[in-house]
Amino acid sequence: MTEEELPPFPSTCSTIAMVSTQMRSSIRSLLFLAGLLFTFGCDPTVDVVRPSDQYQYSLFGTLNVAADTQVIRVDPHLDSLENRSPDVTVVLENLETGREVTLRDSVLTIGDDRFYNYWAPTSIAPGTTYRVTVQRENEPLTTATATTPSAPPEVDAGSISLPCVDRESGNILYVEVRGVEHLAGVTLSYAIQPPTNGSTPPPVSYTFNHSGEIERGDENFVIRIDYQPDLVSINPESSEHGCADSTDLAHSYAELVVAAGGPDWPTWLHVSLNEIARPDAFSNVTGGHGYVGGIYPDTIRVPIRTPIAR
Amino acid sequence: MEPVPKSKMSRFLFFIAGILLCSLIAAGPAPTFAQDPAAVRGFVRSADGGQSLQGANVILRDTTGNVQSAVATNADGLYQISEIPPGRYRLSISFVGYTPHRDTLQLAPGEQRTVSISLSASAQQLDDVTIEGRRPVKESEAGLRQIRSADIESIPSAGPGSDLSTYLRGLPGVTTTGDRGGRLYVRGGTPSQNKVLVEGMPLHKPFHIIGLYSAFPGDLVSTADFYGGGFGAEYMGRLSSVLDVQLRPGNVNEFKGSVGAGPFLALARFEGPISRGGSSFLVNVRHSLIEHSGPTLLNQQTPYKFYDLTAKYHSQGESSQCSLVGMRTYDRGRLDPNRTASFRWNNTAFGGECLLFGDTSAQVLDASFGTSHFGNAVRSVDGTTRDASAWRFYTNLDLTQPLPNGNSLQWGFHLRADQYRLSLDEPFLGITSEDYFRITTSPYIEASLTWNDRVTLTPSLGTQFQFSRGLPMLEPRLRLSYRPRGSERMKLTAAGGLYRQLVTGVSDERDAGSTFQALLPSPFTDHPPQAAHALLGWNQQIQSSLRVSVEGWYKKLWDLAVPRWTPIVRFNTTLSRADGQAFGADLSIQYEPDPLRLDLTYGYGQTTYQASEDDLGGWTGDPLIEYSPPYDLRHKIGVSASLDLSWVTASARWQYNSGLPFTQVYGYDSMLEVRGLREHPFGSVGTPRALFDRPYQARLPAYHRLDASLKRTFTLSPLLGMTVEMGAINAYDRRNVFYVDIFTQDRVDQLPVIPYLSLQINFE
Repeated sequence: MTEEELPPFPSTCSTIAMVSTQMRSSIRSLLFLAGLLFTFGCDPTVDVVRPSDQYQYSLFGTLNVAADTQVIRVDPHLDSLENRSPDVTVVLENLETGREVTLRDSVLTIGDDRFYNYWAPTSIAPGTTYRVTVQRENEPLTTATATTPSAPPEVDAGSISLPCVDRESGNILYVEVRGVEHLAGVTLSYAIQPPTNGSTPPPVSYTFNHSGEIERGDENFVIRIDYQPDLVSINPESSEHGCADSTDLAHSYAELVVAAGGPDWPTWLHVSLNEIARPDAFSNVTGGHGYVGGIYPDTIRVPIRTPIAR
Repeated sequence: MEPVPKSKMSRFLFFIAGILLCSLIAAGPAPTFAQDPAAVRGFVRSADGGQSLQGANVILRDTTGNVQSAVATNADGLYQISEIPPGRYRLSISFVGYTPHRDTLQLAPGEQRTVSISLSASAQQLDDVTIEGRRPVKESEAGLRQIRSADIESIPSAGPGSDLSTYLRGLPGVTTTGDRGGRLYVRGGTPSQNKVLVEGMPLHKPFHIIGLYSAFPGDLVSTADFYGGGFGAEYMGRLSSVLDVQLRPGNVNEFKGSVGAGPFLALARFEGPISRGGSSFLVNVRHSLIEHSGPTLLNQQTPYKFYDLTAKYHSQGESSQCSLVGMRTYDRGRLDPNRTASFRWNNTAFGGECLLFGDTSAQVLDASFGTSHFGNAVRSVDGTTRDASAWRFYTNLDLTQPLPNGNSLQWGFHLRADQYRLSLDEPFLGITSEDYFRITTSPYIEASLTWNDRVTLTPSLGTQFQFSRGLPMLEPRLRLSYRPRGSERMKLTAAGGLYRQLVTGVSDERDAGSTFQALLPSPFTDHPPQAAHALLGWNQQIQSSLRVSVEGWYKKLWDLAVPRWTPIVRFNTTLSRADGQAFGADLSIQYEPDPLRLDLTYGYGQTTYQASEDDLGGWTGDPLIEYSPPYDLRHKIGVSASLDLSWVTASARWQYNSGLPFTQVYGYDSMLEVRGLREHPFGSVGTPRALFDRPYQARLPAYHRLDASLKRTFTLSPLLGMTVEMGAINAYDRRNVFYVDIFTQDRVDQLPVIPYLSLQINFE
């Protein structure tokens, strides 16, 4: 190869031009990469809440045949954090007669939290299906349909004996319930006389929920209520027997409330709270979550037997 | 306790008996015959301070100059050449930057010669040193990143000094949910599936609340073996990863120390000989300053406090090397500076380790013992406290027996006793307390077999036997490396095996801002969580300064204990069973033309869990729920550069992570418990619920950040030096989201731009 055949030595300028071309290409690639990153990587906003068209309100409450006022909690999903009013109309409709009652709104404030209860002074018929509708501008958004029990429960209860005995499971009130398909709940209330300071204050009622003790039998329900923990918690220091004694009580009886649940009342007594909290579980609400049920309670007096009657 | 099946118990007892038999056969002195091979072994250390030199070349030549054997020292500076025919040999030991050692040996039949030497540093580069001894097989094994102090130093970090945590967080395959909280997720695993060992001592959570720091300052780390998967049966008990840290010893010849401070922390270190040339001490303490400097520097509250204290006693002899180490870490802080919920955790560990060999046996014994305690707690806004702790006592015996042709057999017996405690106080829901005690043994056996200097096979087999569980299950594992040309320039690696974990970590995965974790024995006594790993890698030295490695990995996961879903705002210890799979690939390109060092990494990963809707308590409507856990990082890019000029060292690192998944909500309510007529609209608050959308369907914004620093060292006098470092974390002030509290919708961002200037004074 002669010298003329050799490729020309690149000049400084051509080298710079070549490098410059390569650099421009590299810069273009880098800019393209940077553009991609900035397009997909620079928006730092986070949307935590994605509103649902399907679920808008949660409804909780019972339609009580024995009560003269009905109350339903209405919880708007999106406004909970801001505690704003649901700004809706809530209607209670008897599906058999077509009678509608518009519930009034009220605000319950506990601490910083505000809750919206809708209520109406209206009676509820037994064995009847009702629908609660949350609507805005006459457009129904969320509904719950519930049927009330047709009859109250038939309750047969023993008695409470004071003083409490030391032995475990020796302070049991036996309750048997018949004539109902579902049992919604059981409570036991004691009227306690506060200490007197010259004047006699009215008795204070202490209510204890014993729904966890409900056991379903073949044709009945049985509730074994251990009343010692109730009486201990009322006044743990007043008695040498480990529970409140007759001097604490305003009456010689306790009030036992046993409520029947409607035909669609869920079988959820022994389910964990986590399971009940699942939004899709134990709900009869359409367009939202929660549960509205029909109940028919009966109240009986359970005698409190003491060695020295008051 | 479940009855132990007889067949399984028999298998376990046979396995134990086999291991004990191996020990008995190999441990005793054998009768010597005329042609019995000899062996040479010893430690190679630095004459300056007595530090072990890992990767030193040890070459044994016969009198004609032919190489009889060539090996490299391991992390303890230990080498071993066995099966040497009796005769006369020339031994040369060399390490780059040190004056080589040369000696002539006359080896008698069956002789076990100990040659431990200290190499002196050389001022000139030793160009004539030929690297003939293959580097330790571990050097580029599948799944392994062997981290040296220099690697850690090359990453910009808010000093004084560097930290292993900063390095780890940049690795592909390693995910963090934020720069606070101290949690690392490795290749589809969770923090509780990582095993962290410091000189054999387990530490549960050695990462500080500010993610830039851990209990491992860079210049205290001698080596750190980080396995992202595929580790051998030597490491049992964890599903995901292993970080095995060896701390450097204190200087055995002279007293040294340093003090320093920066906006994040202050440090003090002191070391020196106890018996000159024989034993030393090292004490290092760091304490955070950011709680006080943050408000001035950042104009915002920085309620983070941490400290770590490390003390090491080290003694070394011709045929032994022992250490005692004590560590204490403490972290406290509020991940969201504007809320009063505060976290704290601490590690306290003390242990000893001895590596020794005798004159009559070829075996090397590594014995360790100690105790480690981990406690963590969170105090919520309402004053309730969640508390969990784990306490471990352990003792390990590991023996290595050299075999012909450079092969070896290793076996060991590990015994540990664990106590787990948990106390959860939830508002309105009361206190839950749990307490467990477990004793576990984990024997193993591992062989390292090499053919033609090209193929190295490392099969291993281990088992974990928990006395309260009665389920001994074998865990076979295999590691493989293939050097097609017989050199380290190109290497194919593979690893795989079965992994089981008898403890599970429960954390609230709904809340990325929570760093609380409760350790509990796995609730699934019949099938503990397990994983199968498969890794395949390729390493290529393209030029002397350019190395490329690619590794694909796959993990199949079974019987993971994941928190059962609940919309209730509470910490949930109810666990359900899930299966999963994770796969991905890591690419690493290292370009190191002196004085520049450039690293480019890319990691792709995908992690999915599957669980039945009933088991998980989900409400998606699908019988089988498949979801990506909140650490499912898909893309990770890292670019780091370090330029070491004579007067200054400049370094920078840019990282990009694609967004992590999170679960959106479509609303909130307060559930009244109508069941049992327990709550009535008039007078009851109810139970707050978050109404989750389909789980982990949304992604947080991408994360990216640039850190940069300049460092210069000044020599003030022969005995006094000063290092000044200045730089910035998150240099372009990217608003990276840390987490959003889905219950309050409070957004917490990661660290903003933080300029820093740190000063460190070194004295002798």
